[in-house]
Amino acid sequence: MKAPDNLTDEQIAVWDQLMTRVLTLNERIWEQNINGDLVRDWLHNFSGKTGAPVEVERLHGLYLLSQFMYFGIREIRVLLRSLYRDLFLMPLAKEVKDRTNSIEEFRSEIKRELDATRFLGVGNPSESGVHLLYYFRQENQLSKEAFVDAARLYETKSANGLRYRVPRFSAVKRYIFLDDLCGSGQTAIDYSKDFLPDLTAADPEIKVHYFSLFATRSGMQRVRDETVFGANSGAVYELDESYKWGDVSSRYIVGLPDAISLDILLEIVDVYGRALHSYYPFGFQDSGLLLGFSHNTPDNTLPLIWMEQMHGSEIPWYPIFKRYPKK
Amino acid sequence: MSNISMDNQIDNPFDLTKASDFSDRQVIDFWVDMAAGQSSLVSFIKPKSKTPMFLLGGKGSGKTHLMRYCSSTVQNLRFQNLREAVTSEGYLGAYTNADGLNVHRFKGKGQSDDIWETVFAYSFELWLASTFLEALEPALADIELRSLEWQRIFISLVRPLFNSEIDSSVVDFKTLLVYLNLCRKKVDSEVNHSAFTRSLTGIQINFNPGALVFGLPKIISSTCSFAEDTLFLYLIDEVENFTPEQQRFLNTLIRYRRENVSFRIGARLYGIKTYETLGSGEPIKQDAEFEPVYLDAMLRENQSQYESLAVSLILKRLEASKSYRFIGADRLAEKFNEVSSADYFRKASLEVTAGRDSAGKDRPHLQRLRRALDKAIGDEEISRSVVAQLSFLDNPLLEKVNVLIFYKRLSKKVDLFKLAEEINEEMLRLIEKGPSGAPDYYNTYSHFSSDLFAQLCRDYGKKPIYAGLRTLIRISQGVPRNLLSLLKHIHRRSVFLGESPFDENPISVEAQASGINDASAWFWEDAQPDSHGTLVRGVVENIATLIRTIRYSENPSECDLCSFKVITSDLSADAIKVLKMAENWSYILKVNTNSSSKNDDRTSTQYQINPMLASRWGISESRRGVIEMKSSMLEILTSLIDPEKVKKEISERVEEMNLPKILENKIFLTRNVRQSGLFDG
Repeated sequence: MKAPDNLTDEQIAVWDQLMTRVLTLNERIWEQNINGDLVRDWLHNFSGKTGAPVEVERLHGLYLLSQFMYFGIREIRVLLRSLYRDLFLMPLAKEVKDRTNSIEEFRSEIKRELDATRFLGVGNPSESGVHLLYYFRQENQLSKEAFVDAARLYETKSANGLRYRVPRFSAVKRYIFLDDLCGSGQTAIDYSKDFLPDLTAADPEIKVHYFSLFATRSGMQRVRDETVFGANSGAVYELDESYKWGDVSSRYIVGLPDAISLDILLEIVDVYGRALHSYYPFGFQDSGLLLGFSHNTPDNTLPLIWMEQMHGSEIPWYPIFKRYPKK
Repeated sequence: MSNISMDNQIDNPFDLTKASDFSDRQVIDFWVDMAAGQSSLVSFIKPKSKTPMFLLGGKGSGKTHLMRYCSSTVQNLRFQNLREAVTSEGYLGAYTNADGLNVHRFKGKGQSDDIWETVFAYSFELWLASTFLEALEPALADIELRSLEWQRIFISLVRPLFNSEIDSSVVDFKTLLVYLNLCRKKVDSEVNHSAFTRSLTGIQINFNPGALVFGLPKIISSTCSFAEDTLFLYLIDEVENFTPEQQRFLNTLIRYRRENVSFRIGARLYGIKTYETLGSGEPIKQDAEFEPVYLDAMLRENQSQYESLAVSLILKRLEASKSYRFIGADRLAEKFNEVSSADYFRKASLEVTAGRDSAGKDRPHLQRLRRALDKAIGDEEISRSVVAQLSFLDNPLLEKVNVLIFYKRLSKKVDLFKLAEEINEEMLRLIEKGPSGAPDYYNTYSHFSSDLFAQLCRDYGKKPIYAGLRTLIRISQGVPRNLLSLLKHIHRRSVFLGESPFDENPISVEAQASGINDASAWFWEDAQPDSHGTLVRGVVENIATLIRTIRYSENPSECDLCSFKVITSDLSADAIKVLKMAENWSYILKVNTNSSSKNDDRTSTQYQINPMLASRWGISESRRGVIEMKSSMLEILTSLIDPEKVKKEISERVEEMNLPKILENKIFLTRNVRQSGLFDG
């Protein structure tokens, strides 16, 4: 896509560099999910609302796009292996090793622990946490029996005319909840409040864990502080504040090319963000992320990337990486 | 037909560009030759000539592909039978790559250069001997290797090649090969361990230099009737990896070559570090003892042959990917959009100026002229009248031609208004009657149209456009890998723009221009002039900046400029060295060594900035004009000590080609005299 007219030589040079970067990212990382037409349509969303010339806004939009982090299915599979190994199996193995005296005893105890463990996705079967389970099972060569549908965690009993729910699988002592992203932590908090108290109350020996592929530092802290998962929570990749748009330490605003103005960058995200989502212009709970997955783009990402009218945008907007809503 | 692969990615048929990465099958599949009636590419390597050859060329010029095409494994595939191939072609190619020898091991570790020279010669000869036997084996498999008698005779002839008794396990062809490989591994091990042991005494050298390299082929000729007249070629590639000392051994083998053995040595342009031999050091003699062949220069000089080769190369790639419709050679050019020069670039140049034209803004070249005239003659009315005569809204390119001719014809005696009026009339005659209606005007147009179009683009904040099949071929300059790289990048740009390259619609100019830029960046980065990289790049940048400044001046002295000539005998050793390095890394190309300078009888050398880099600076990719560069200027451009001095030198050189100087000399001093006739009558 050619640089628009009316840019300076320096801006044209940066435009070309950014477009080349986007092209390379698309080929190498973004699984060829976009093309020149989509980029053009998306850049045409920027219409001069900030007061800067339209072409200059589009140049800055292109810069934002060039910073987008995308994790394709190959990367997700590797991360799922890492999650199982580093967050679950190794700590478990260490714990078992500390209380066993021989390799035979260790093996037998590990088997017992694994038999008493079940993996679940956060959310209902149509959501991304559950979606990951299929790949998680494949990558870690687990049996189908190691998984359970969250809807079947409880069975209903009645006594004295009262109906109440009790854990269905008495032999299971450890439930591992998996998620792709812990942004604000709210999903895990809601899940913990609505779903898990009866599980742990029924049997104090039952442990619940929450593991996600990615988590913002603040989101994961909330999960640790405000849920029954507590310290049994973790992420393969913890995103510090530098991954947050607008933070003073934000990596997206460090080392800007001369042709890119920080003020215009901040302004386009703010102005268009507000037009797209007046309550959360920087993404759900103002997470300010700039990332997406092959299976979906989280709502914690800047709305500029994924918003469209079907998500409630008040202005016409073409997304560059679509989001499939929970509805 | 779809060109989308299983994983939904669009195949790029130009992805694989290095012949060293090819399988033997791909060496054949991707092989293209000159058009019928022209000499085959194989003839460049003269496989039946006993004279050893240095096959030299820039990166990607096709050395490896050509050498591997002549190797025994590919001969075998081509004929489905190596014996038949050898009989039919009259040679057997034993191909090896110097890179695989890890030649850097043979130095230091507490040993003298003499010792390393001997150890390397021994190890290298073992390597060549085993390469030769491995290359030959399939040709002997069905007959000789099944004959106990032949094996017995063969080994009895081999034994005397060694100074001491060889291992008793060596009883036939196969065990000889095993033995040679074991010997080589033993040398490798000793060499590798010498870093700790500081000793090489475990190596027993048990044959004289050349004994195996020449002895084994001779034995084969004498014992295999089919190979009686066969020439055995050692095809040794990437010899630039050898140190000068190691090359001396190779040169010695070349000097003492025997009847049925010859060598083809592949190397980069800078790859031959010495022609000296071991012992006295006397160099091997060109033509008498070896022949140098500069592959890319040969292809470059045979433009029409290279063009048909390039077309075949592209079609072969499309054909091999099996995802593209058949395209006839004569239709390939249609698959690339070009900037239309119809009606003297009318439509193309109007597209460039449309935005500003519709906003009612003046065209920059006219604006500059009017301001300069105002200043020079101090009369706004006159300058407006002159500019109005030269202005031609309907065709911005012809308008620029008008202005250029105005600058070129200015003299102290000319009436400015009349001059502008004449130019305008000539332009109208050209439009009405064609070139014959205004031959002088057309001459300037035909020389400078591409420069003026590039200037127009630049004035309007757009990049100069490079597009069209012929342009691509010209940019690649006889180097097939350059062509493939250009196409690889163009293909990916085209796909990204949602096009279907090589399908019904042609590839857009935009995709081509972007792809050419990408390939240019790759070429700039890919060449890694090791020890003097910064210097070489800086110097090329300086020279290109001068050329660019001239091209984009108001009154360029030359058209389609990308070349310069210089009397090299006047240059300092440092300047010559840096030019040589730039040439070795193909940043610049030596295009003519015999041209004489306009004002000097001495021989000058002409260089061209590699067209692969043209888009980097927006200079011309085609070689028409050439600037003469004084040695003093080149000395400044080849020294990076003082960037300000370089800037000043370039600015002074181009000053006369720009406003206000163009007018100052010709108008300002005599304006009172000349303007008298302006409003006569």
